[in-house]
Amino acid sequence: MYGWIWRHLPGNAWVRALISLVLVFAVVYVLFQYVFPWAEPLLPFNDVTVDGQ
Amino acid sequence: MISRGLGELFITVGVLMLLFVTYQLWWTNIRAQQQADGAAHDLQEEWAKGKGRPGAFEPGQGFALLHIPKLDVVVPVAEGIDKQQVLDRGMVGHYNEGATKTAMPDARTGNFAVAGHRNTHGEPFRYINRLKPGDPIVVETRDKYYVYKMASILPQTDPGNTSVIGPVPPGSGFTKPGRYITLTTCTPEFTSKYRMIVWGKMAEERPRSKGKPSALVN
Repeated sequence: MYGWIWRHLPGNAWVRALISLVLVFAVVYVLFQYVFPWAEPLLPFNDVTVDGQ
Repeated sequence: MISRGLGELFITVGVLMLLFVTYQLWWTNIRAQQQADGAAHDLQEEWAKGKGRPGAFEPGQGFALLHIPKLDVVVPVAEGIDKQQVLDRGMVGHYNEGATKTAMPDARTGNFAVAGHRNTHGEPFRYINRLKPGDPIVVETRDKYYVYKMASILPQTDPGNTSVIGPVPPGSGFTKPGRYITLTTCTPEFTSKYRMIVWGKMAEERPRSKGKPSALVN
């Protein structure tokens, strides 16, 4: 998969590396901003209240 | 070809898990601290302008500052124990609804119960297990400082045990109705298996006009 992405990026090796870096940051951003906050309550961590449930 | 794809998949899953741990242990604290600092700042500004009427508050609305001088904790207290609105924003939440409704500090008698994160999201209650009897816990509102002294701790109890936030909690050592504070958080650290409870008893009710209580001056 990663090899496939690399082969389909335009430009020479340096440009490709730069684009890859941007892609990595974009993925991390989406994960931190949207995916992890969504997934967090589904996991059994960090319940701090007493609620009788 | 298959084995290569499988390898990439494993690496991806591994990196994803590491990223999630990074998010939990680092990023949530940064975010929550920013949000809590913002909320504390807004509160102080409102108080300075004479707003922030005591009484009823909206869910999620900050109305007080909780100080635990021994632990260097200053954290806004908001109405309700909703995760997204309150706890995950680095604030401490006041039990205010349904079966777990508890008193406000200004009530003549009652138990002011609040919940806070032990880990992640600002982790205001990380070290409340280090509190010793007599350590001050101060609730600052627009008009008053309510100074509580830590009384006792329940190191571990079931999450369903709502009696710990009752008006006279069994096990706290309190025997008659009074003005109490209860802090709840999770234990052991990084899990949700049990709850840790810290109780305190009000020692002083000090109008803001008389200046800060001695617990906050040094």
